[in-house]
Amino acid sequence: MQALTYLFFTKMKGTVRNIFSNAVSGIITFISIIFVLFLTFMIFTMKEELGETVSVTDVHALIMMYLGAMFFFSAILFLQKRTALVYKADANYIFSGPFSRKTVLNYLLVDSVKGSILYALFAVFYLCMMAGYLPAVTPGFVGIAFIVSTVLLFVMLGGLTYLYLLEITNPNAKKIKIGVIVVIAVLVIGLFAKNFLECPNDIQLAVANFLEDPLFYFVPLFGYTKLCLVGFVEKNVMMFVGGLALDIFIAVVLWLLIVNVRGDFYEKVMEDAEWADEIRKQAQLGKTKEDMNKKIKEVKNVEFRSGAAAIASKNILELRKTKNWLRKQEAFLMLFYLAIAFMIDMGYTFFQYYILIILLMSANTDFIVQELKHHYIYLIPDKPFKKIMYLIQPMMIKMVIMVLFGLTAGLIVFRPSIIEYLASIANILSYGIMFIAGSIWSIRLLKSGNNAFAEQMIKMLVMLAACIPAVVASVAVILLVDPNMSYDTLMSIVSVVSVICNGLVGLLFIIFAKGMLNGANVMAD
Amino acid sequence: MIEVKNLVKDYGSVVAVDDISFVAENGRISVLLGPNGAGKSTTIKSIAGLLTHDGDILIDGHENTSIEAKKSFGYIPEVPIFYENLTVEEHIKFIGKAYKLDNYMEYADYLLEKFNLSDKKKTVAKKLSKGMTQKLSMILGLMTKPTSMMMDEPMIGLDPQAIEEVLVLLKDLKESGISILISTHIIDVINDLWDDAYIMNKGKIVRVVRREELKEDESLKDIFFECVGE
Repeated sequence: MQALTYLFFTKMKGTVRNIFSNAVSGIITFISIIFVLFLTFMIFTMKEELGETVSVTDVHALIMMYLGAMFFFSAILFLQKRTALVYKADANYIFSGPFSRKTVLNYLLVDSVKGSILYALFAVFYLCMMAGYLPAVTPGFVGIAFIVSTVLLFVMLGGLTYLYLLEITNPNAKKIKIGVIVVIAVLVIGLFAKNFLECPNDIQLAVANFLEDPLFYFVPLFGYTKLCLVGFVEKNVMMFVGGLALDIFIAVVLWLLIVNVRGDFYEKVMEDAEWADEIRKQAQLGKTKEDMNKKIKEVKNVEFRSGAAAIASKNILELRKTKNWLRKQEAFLMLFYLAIAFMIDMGYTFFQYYILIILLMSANTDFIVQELKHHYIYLIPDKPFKKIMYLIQPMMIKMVIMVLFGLTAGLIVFRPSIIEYLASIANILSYGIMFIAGSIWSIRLLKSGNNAFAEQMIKMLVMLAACIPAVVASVAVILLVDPNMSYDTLMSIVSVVSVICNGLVGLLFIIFAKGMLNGANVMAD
Repeated sequence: MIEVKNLVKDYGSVVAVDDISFVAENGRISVLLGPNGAGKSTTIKSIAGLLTHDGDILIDGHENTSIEAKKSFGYIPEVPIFYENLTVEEHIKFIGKAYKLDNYMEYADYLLEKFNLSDKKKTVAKKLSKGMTQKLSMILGLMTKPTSMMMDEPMIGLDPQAIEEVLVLLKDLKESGISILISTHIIDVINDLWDDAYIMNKGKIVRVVRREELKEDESLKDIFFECVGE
């Protein structure tokens, strides 16, 4: 075990060393951490000034939303067709080394704990971003949410490991994996149906009753987690300790089950490790597992435009072949937030804020990074500005589809006026365009590629900073215009101001980034 | 013609290419020879405009990153990367349109025939074998009819028959008057082909050899080992 403990900590040390291997990456990481802490601090400080009272429905809705996101993440993990426990390097050393089966399994579990902590950190940061404005989200609540989320995620990751090992000796275990998710989903849907049937004429009341229904506490794991969090907010020690203890009990039982698992699993784990390595290699090229498994549609009448425009033609052709216009996850997320916004009666304006967050998160640069690996893009004899504009064209089309999908769903549910709907499209699209331009500029800024965390953070920082002109101008408009002006007219003016500000900022980003397509920047150093 | 003047490329404290100058003349095949890590690929990538560098590089008299230069050179990388969901034919159309070429399909068909890829026109890139991707890379590099050609280890991954085809093609290209610059560490393959050899070691050109200046009892291989001390 000593050697594997050494390996575990040396790997972590190596990761940190890699992050701080060059000054830029180190500084960015440091600034990013400070920024995250500052943002969190600001959220808590601002809330105290507002001095709002805690609403019971808000607390339950917040916790259910958080658990919904956790369940979504778990379902994705459990429903994957193929999975792997380790990467090739780990597999080679731990399975060929002089280690007992129990030692190897303990090592895998400790690695799962590390994974759970990282995911839980991300989850609570997400919680602060999405619901930090609520009075219930205090530093103490965030701390407890982190602990209980770590346990919940460990049970999920550990459960996946256990079922994976079980599946090697018994192929029927695959059904258990799906069964776990189905049982939890059926219990929750059943609970909602019960509340709906109790007051079928008032959907809002049915939703509120569902959110606060004590029967939810009986839903395995998720119910216990809610019990713990609600117990903390309501200062009910029994609920708090009971929920946490139940989660920890499941985790301990699972740990014991895993370290005592029978059967020969080394060969299968090795085989899957090789597959996982390939996935990781492809991911570094900017491809997701979904992209790799996607079936390619045959496309007829292929036409390319001339010069730099051929880049856009090629990318649109790829989109037509993969039918990748709107990612399922993003569509689901928008509908999920729509349901949340509807359930807690937040309204159309607030729903737009969620759409913006999804846009911010989804303006990833994987597609561009993948494109920049091809030397053809640099060698095409055309102006860099034209090349970059055509390069981002398909991203823009995808973003427009996403915004139209989300806001149209919002239109159906919230029924804003057509003017407000159109103004919101213009407004959100302008932010989306600016996010894309900002993310491209951040590629140029970073280019190292050895610190994914810092890259993600700097992208966020750049995009958030870029929102400032439009936000300031919009606030100024709201403060300066005639207070008797109609809401629709005000929103129209705000959207025009946003479009102008974001358009200008986006254009500046593109101008600063265009040198990238000369070749000698990204692919290079 | 490719002219390299005082090229320097460093990666922080590591100097990969250290103040080298040379010319790849029209109608001649120039080779950059050197052991692994000598700086050959870095030099080729710098010429193709894919790496930032110090010094001047001119292609047919134009600065290497200019649109005019890009129109006139072809580059075949050591490891070809393709758009894996696009077919061979779609790659050809993409390059043809991006370079604004006229009647490119006719010449592309000739190249496809020469490299035995005619029956793979409708095959997506991810289904091509390693050797086939190398051939496709050659086709895409050549179909623009460049006046200067750069090839980074062009024979790696090719079967013996394809290597023969490439050698014949290189001779044809040379006779048509274009300048060809090849980076390689496999001397045997280009032994009958080269006109000028620039032997690199540790980022510097340590010896320039012209075929016409080679003595009867000298071989490029002997000179190479003498220079790199292996």
